[in-house]
This record gives sequence, structure tokens and C-alpha cells, in this order.
Amino acid sequence: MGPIELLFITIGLIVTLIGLARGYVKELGNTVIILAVIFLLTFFQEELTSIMTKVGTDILGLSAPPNGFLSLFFSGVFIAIVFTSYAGKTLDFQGTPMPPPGGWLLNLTVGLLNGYLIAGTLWYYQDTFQYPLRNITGYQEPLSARAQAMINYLPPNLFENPVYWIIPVAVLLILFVRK
Amino acid sequence: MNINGSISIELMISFVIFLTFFGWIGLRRGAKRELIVLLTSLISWLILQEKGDLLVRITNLGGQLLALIASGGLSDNGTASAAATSSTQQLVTDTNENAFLFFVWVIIVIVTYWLTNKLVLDKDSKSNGWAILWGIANGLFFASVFLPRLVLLFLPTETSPQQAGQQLAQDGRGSVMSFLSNGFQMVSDAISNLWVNLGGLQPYVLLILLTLFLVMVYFSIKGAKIANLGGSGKSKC
Repeated sequence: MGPIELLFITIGLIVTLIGLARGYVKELGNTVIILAVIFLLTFFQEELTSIMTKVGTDILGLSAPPNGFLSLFFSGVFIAIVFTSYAGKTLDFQGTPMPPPGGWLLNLTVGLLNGYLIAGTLWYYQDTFQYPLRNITGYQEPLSARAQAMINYLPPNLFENPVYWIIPVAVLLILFVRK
Repeated sequence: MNINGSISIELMISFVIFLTFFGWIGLRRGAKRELIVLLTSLISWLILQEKGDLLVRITNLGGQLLALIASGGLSDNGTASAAATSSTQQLVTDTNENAFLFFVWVIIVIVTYWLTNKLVLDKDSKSNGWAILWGIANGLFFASVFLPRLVLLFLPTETSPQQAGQQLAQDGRGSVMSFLSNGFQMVSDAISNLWVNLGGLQPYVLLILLTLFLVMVYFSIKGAKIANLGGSGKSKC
């Protein structure tokens, strides 16, 4: 296993541990936020890339294409929104969770899902902009076969149409709001 | 392990049904009853395997005592009784020792099932996830004990349970771990094959599975509601 997949699997596992500690009831709110952010960033990726490329080249004087700036922008926006969802009361679900062992299993599963969504999306932006932060991420050419296979399953690459990400969000919100 | 075609589907279904059946039994009986059965059957099995010869000796001594009593040896001068006891055939010999110990273990398990039904109250033995887990654990343990013997039904009559067990054990089969690992390998192979066959439908299946999973998580929360929608700036991890 190469360093790049080790790094992002580690990030995913850390997020999973956070999910295990917080419990799946709280994590569900974060899942909804993360899915919505993935939808927004992926849906408007072309437009945002075009705008931020102009900002990078014309305003900041960076050489085209400003891959490092773009990866930092997208990753930064994503991390900021995810951090806000963890730190603030943006979408706070409440209720009594299932008792163990089912509750533990759900804590683990939802934690793993959030870990995959967060780590996978960060990896996606590194891969899309050709690993501009290779000194930090430990990127080595060429990527291992396992990493190349995993990239096809990163969250923004999962669906050809990013609108699909909003479907589970909409279903969950409808279920919660109908009461 | 790589088994092809419809056989793997049959094995996978059998494996899943087997686990589901024992999980259902566990759910019906409750966690406490199943845990008592699991611990009793495990510990008694281990004790009989390690110290079974002690029980065999006690049983044979008991047999000799019965023979002594039957021959009136408690009241005579000892000569006739000594002859009676020395000529008594041992109840448990080397050839039937394993069968005897297995019989004793089965009796212990049956009695434990019966006693837990009688003595453990329903309110003390909750039907929850633990009950399912302990039920499955019992099923796995019983599989490792009974399967080498049941296999004899399909093997030549001269094969003993020990030889059947040894045949299974040669490739690491017949143990609980190999039963589990082979079973889960089958399930994983079936899922991989199904995934490849889905082709272009894969994203849609993933979407449906993700949505169903989140809906299931929602329905697992009692009194689920959104307590707050909006930012307050206060950190609440």
C-alpha cells in the first residue's frame, strides 16, 4: 500500500473514531451536511474552478494552472464547512439511540461513512489538481494499482451526476421535518 | 477458498440460513439464557477434553461398585466380591471413551437448555442484539462439534468421528475460525461477483443502498427530531 492511500485511510479512521465517540445520532447531522457540501462543490466545480483560476492568475499572479491554490481552495472550503458542522449547532439531531450492540455497530458504520466521505473528498481534490501538495501528502509517482482503483470510488467520482448526492439528504430531511 | 457457480450460492445461502436460525433462537430465548448455554457448553467441552479420563475412571469405579453391590459383596467375606468386581467389564473402555464423553457433553447441553428455560425468567433474559450474538456464537460452536460427526452420514462407515474431524482439520477445516472465514469468504466472493455483474448500474445501487442505510439509521433513533437548525457559534462536540 502506498503512502497516499495510507494517509487518507488514516484520516478516514481518525474521523471514524470521532464518530464512535460522538455516537451516530450526532454524526447523522454531520453526514447530511457533508453530503450537501459534496453535492454543492461537485455540481459547481467547473464554475468555481474557472473563477478561482482567474483569481489565482490575475489577482494573485500565480502561474497557470494554479493547481496548488485550487486544491487549497476546494479542500479549505470543504474542511471549513465540515468543521463548522462538527463544532457548531448547524444540524443537531436528537433522540434515543439503539442500545448496544446494535448502537455500537451503527456508531461504527456511520463513523466509517463520514470518514470515507471526508477523507475521500480531500483525496479527490488532491488527485484532481495533480497532487500539488506532494511534499505533505507523500505522493509518489506512479500511484499504486490499489490507489488507482480506490480513486474511482472517491465520493465526487462515485456518481456521474452530482445531483444524486442530494437525494439521501432530501429523504432524511423530509423524514425529520414531517413530524 | 474458491468455489464456483451455483454451489457457492447454495453454500452461501446455507451459511446465512444457519447463522440466521441460531440468531433467531437466541432472540427467542434471550441474552442471559443463551450466554449461560454458551459458557456452559464451552467450559464443559474443554473440561471433558482435558480431564475426561478422570470422569471415565469415576464411571468405571462406579460400575465396579454397582457390580460389587449386585454380587452381595458388601456383606460377604470379600473373596466372592473381589472376584465379581475384578471380572466386571469396564463400562467405559478405550474404544467407547470418546462416545461416552460426547454423550455426557450432549446431556449437559440439553440439561442447560432445559434449566435456563425453567429457571431464568423472561424479564431477566432480554431479546436484544446480544441475544442474537450469543445465539450465533452457540450455533458456530455447535457446528464445530456436530459437523465432523454429521459428515459421517456421508462418509464410509469405517470412518470414525475422529477421523472425519482429522480429515477436516488437515486443511484447517472443521474449526470455528475456518467455518467463519470460509463462510464470510463465500459471502464476499458472491458480493464481488454480483458487483461486477451490475456494471453500469453500480452507482444507482450505491445510491439506493446509501439512502436505505440512512433511512434505517433514522428509524433506529427513538424520538428522532432536529433540535436545532442554525448556527449559534457555541462548540458542541
